[in-house]
Amino acid sequence: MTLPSARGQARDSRPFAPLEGKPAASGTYQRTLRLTLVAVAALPLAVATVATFVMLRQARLDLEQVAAISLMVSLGILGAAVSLAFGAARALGGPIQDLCEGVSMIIGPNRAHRLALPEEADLADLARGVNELAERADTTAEDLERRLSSATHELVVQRQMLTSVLFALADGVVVCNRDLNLVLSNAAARRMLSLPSRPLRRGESIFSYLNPAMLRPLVESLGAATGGSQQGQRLERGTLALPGGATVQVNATLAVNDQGQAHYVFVLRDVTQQVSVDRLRGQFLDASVRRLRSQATSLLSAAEILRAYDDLAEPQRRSFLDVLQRDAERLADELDAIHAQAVGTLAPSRTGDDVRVSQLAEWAAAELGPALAARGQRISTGGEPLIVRGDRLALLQVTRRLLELAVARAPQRANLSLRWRRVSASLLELAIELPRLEVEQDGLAEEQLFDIPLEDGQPGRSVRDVVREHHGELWVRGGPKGCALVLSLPASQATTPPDPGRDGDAVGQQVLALLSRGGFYEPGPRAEDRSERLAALAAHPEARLADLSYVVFDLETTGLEPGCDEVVSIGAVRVRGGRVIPEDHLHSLVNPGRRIPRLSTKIHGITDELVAGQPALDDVLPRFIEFVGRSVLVAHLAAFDLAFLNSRLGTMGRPAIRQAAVLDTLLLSCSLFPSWGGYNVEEIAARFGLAVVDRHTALGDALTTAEILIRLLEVLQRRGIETLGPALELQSGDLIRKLVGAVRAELSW
Amino acid sequence: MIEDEENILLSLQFVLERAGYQVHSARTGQEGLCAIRRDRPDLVILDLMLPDISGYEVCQQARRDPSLAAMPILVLTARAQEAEREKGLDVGATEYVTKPFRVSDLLARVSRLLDSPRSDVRSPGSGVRGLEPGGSGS
Repeated sequence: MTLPSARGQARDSRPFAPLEGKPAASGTYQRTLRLTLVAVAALPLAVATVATFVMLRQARLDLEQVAAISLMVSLGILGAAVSLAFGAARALGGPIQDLCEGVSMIIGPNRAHRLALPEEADLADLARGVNELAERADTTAEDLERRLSSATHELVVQRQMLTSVLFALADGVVVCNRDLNLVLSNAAARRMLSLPSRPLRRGESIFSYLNPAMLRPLVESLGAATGGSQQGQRLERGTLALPGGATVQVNATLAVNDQGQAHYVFVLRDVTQQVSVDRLRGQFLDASVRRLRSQATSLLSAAEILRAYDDLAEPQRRSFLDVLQRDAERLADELDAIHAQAVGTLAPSRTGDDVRVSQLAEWAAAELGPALAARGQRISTGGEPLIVRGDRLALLQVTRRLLELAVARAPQRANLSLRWRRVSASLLELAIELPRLEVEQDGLAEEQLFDIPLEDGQPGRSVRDVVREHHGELWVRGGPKGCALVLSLPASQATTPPDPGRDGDAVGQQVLALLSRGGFYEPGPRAEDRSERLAALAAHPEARLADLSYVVFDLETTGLEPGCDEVVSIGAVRVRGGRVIPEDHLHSLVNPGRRIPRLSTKIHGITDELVAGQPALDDVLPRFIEFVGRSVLVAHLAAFDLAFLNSRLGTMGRPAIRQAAVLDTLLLSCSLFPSWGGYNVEEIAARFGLAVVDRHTALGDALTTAEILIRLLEVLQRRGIETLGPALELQSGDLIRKLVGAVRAELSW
Repeated sequence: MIEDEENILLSLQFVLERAGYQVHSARTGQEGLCAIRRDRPDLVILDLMLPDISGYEVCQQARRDPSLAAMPILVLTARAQEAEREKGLDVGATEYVTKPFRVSDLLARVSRLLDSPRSDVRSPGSGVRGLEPGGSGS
């Protein structure tokens, strides 16, 4: 019997495996039915037999004849009754067995199965009822699944956010349970405590690596103070001197979750250098003050004697004058020594970020783009790789304000330039050069130009304040050909920011992997359209590869045909200073506005349900372009991804991204290593010894490609290719076209 | 000599006059600028921290007058940071001396600057290095 599927779903082709007891029940029913029918037939049989017997006796037949005829009639009637009973049982029992089998199917292997309606009205009602119950059970189950999936997703997102925060923290974080067994630790904590580089096993005691005498007092006082009621509000602080000589400051608190489980949270900060400098500074100040007191005493005494005693003999007078001279000289020397120490080893540690000067300049230039355009001015930027240590945001603001000042006070249609250079081993300068500085004749001294607030409408910290805080200076340099606003700052010896420690860090890798499923990037609203900049990127072929920032991106799509298929996910991550900036990423699912073929879902795991509430490419693309900013775009087999993006940019009326301006890790690999057999992401990653994380997720692939890019940039530098132009040129040429043809054939694209 | 610190002004004026120089003194930046424009001195000794406009500003304004472009300016200051020194030299100081200094050393520098040919004088923004800060060391 063929059962129609209630919701058009494909029938389960698996052979029906009856549940234990079900057919037995059906057989019993039929047997009972048959016996009932036979029993019902037995009554007329008895009546007919008696009636035949009476009739034959009245006809005066002898008893033997009468008995024989009655028996034959009875047997005939009985045979008819049994035949009737079996026939009826078959007619009634067949549909019921089908119903039983159908119900077994629904509660068994195929939830979507529905009962066919038998012809008998009562049985059809029963089947309808069963079908409706199945429908309701189905709806409830789906609702449950949806809620479960949503809750799981939220949990995953929260976990990702927590992991990202822990990863980004310079402070170490260690979470232990009440028995001080480790639950969670981040990379910074493991570096500080010299824990093994592998992630600690869950439940491993922190005291396997740390002397219990160090943490125990902190923990005990925390436990005693909170008593379990004030958890999370009490903070205990202590300083630990670690066996390796380092000193860490520990902030400990007790956190209790909803289930009443208590955890100790330790936040560790490396204060080794600060403690050592503080100690030295204290010792130096004590010694200096002692020497200054004795010199001042000596000076005062000598001066008083000279004034008070007119009758001093000439040799005595001279000796006291010598004392004055000698002690004054020693005082001067002492001041020089204090100054040298104050700016040298004992200088207050300048906390902050290592900021690339090129970043300050380029960000400011990008910000002022519209203002420059409005005044018909142009700006060029350039300089050697330089690092300044300080408050990144404040320095960015200072640079922007200075450029704003230059833009406003330079003549219309002027050419401005932003140049930076090292002045000495410890000093750098950033100069905004302009043809002429237009200053109103209001008696405003040039010096006062810089007394502008850091933020519009926010009096308080001025540009000059920030510069002073960074031990820098500001001035206007006049010259025969024009003038310059000069910002001078102490320079770091390094030319690239130090790596905060991605030394094969397993947690870092985990975070990167987790991030690939995240998507917390929420850029601030910015009306400015930067796609023109993207298109114009190749206009700076002389830019040094080491100075540039890159955005490495990847798309997941519904298929391989740019004209017909659509984007379902976009992932991008920034590379700067030779490293991936994991926190600087963009990841978004994209609603393709069409069904995603199963074949594609099999590759990237993105389903119709996942993209249902997600933004369309039209909404994501401006965010992507905003995110790219002035960075150089990079992709693996960029032509493929660009075809998708450009087709949409075209319909949005925006300029296309020129392929010639995009670095392609595939083309570069082909060109630099023509002997390699294969050039897909896994093969190149394997060549460079890189782990491939989350293959076929947009951000996962972008991250792997980013790591590949970093290795390729190193190779380029070793081969003497240091600027963007020649690197882009490497990507063209016959050899490359042949190789791309080969790769495309391999990819069947 | 433009200096608002009375004791230093008194001592330096005394030793300079005893060394045979004629000294005009001013206690503010504006007063100093007027004196420079009026008297056209052979050399200016300039403090950076003045009550009205800064010594940097005095330097810049003086250098804008082409006839004063070659006049030696010896900055005498308590500002000893490298960026401050760089700024001083860049806006037109010929030499940059940090306090405290030895009178004998200062006299030697004054004498050298007055004897030196004018072409040696650093022009603004030329990037020529002056003497080390706090050159009073020995």
